[in-house]
Amino acid sequence: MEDVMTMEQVLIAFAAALALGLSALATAWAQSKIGAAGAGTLAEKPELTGTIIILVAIPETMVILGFVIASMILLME
Amino acid sequence: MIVPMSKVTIMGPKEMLMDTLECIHRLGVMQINEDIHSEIQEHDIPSHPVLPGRKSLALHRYYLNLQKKIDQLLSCFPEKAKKRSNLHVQATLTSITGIISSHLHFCKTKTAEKDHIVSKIDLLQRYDEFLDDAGSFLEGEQVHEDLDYFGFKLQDQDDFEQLRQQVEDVTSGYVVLEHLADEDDKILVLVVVEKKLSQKVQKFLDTAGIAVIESPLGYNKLPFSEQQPLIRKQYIRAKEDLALLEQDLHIFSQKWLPIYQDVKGWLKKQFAVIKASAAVYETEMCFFIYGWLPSDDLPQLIQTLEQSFVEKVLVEEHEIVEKDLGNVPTALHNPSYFQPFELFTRLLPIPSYGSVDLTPFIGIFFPVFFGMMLGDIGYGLILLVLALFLVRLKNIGSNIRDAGKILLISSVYTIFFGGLYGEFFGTAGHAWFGLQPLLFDRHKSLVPMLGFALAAGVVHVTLGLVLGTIVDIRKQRKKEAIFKALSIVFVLIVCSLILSIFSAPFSEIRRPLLITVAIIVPVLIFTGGVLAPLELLKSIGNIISYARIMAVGLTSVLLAYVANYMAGMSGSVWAGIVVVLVLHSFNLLLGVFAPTIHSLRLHYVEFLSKFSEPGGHEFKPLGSNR
Repeated sequence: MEDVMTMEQVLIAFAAALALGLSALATAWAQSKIGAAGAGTLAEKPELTGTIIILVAIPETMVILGFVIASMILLME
Repeated sequence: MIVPMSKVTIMGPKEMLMDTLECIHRLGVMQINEDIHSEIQEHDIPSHPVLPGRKSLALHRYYLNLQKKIDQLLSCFPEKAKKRSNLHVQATLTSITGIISSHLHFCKTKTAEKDHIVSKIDLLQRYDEFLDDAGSFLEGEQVHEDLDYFGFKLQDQDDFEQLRQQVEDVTSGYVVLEHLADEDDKILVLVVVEKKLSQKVQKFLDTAGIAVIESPLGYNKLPFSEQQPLIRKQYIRAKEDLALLEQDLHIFSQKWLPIYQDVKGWLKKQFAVIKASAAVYETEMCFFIYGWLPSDDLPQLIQTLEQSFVEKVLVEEHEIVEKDLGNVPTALHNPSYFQPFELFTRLLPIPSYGSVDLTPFIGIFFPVFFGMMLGDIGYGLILLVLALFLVRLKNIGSNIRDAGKILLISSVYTIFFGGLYGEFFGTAGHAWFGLQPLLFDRHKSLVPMLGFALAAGVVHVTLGLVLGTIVDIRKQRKKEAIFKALSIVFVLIVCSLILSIFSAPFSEIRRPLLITVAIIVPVLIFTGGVLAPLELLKSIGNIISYARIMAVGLTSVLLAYVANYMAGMSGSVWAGIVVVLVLHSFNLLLGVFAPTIHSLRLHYVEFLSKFSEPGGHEFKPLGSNR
């Protein structure tokens, strides 16, 4: 017996991939900017390490929410 | 925990000021308040800052000169002395001042001689190597007075061909170039030109950045074959001279370095005391010192000053009022279990006095979140062994030891959650000895794991809001306290509403919950302002952020699953072992960093933002190395 995916399943998988992929790209872009600026700041003021870690970690919420949405899309199929 | 502080005034006769400051310096428990002008104005005391007299200025200048000489002397010795001297510095200061100039001259002379011999040895060595490598085309070669010789090394034949062309252009062809490859496949080159062209060639080589191997002075007139034995003889003599010099310096450093280092330490203390005297006020007869110290250390200060000055120097404690709160320094002190976690707290700005120290909460929740994310018995055991090894190492920094202790606690939680999830190197435990999960199987139960992670988020964020409420009550900010308390209620109502969608018993309380929300929202807007609903949404967003616990955990599980699956597919036992080792090692490395970063992020952003009040001043007592 063949296991054939329907068009609906393909679109659902595609939607989940988009939800995660686009949010991951957005997070990566944001963190690259913050990380580069943070590295320059730390060279002059090492005491700001904690603040820089927090600032770099803040955009991760986007990819986490994207992951949650992708999981919901796949699980509620 | 933030240490409770006391605000004190020390007063006594003017002539006892420096002795009192030295006593405070010795104890190392009190920070002197430099900004005391408002205190003086408030108490309406006709006083003025202590102004240095002629004698103390001369003493300060004397100490500065002595310190400068000691620094110059110590710079001649790169390594510090390991032992201390038994010298009483103050009693022998005059003698040390008398001999330091001669010692400094001795060290500078010996160091300069040593540097000269080292560069001579380097020159002799390089020239000897050049003569060794270039033996085949220098043998029998005579040194002509009208000619100059340039020897150097190039990387490869292409560089040589390029250089040949350029040198021939510079010298219009009046040049001889010999070359051969040495043992390291570098190209050894000898350029021979007439003396009138040598300056042009030297300039060209300098511009090209080529380091010419120079002939030591005195040998450049001898035939090359006669130069080498003489070079080697001189090399051996230079080595012997160097050994003698180093021995002289070593004997000097063994005898005098501990003494000078102790004197330097004593001078540093004197400068700290003199600097502290600038923060003191005095009247015609008395001095006043204002400062802060931990309340537990106050009896010790009082007792020490009483014993030293027989009740002539008095300590008075004052109540800390609201306007002082911005000036009180913050000192942290935690029980030994939580102390390693100060490694994470130190990355953040110091909390203000009267707020909450994050350290105990990181100590409780960080290992839990770490364990929830990594959750594997096999990985936990490896981390446990590694942590025990780190903790027992000697001569390591305190930061590495603290990291080892944190890893030790986190590995225990990793093993615990690994048991709950039934994971031992992923699904290997189930395949080898039928390990079953006690809670749920992570890589099959996504929704329960998500619910588990979000439940942890609700608890953590609610605790943050509770702490924020307590801080606001302590600081008598009623509106903010009510807002945070109602936020807690709102968060719990939202959770109950979500539960009511999935669970029948909760569906009956949906209407009362919605009515409660309708009542709470106007009160929230009144206490928190027009943006209050946005703050509430932010709290909900913070809770959803805890879904990363599930996301990071799932990554770890799936990577372990892939590692085991690929090992099985490899077809050979040895290939399978290699695949397993590589992939599981990678997963373990990722499994240490990712949970650490994400757990800290959850504390720093989602948790700390609910109650943190940065802007504290670090407690820096006079005389402590903190």
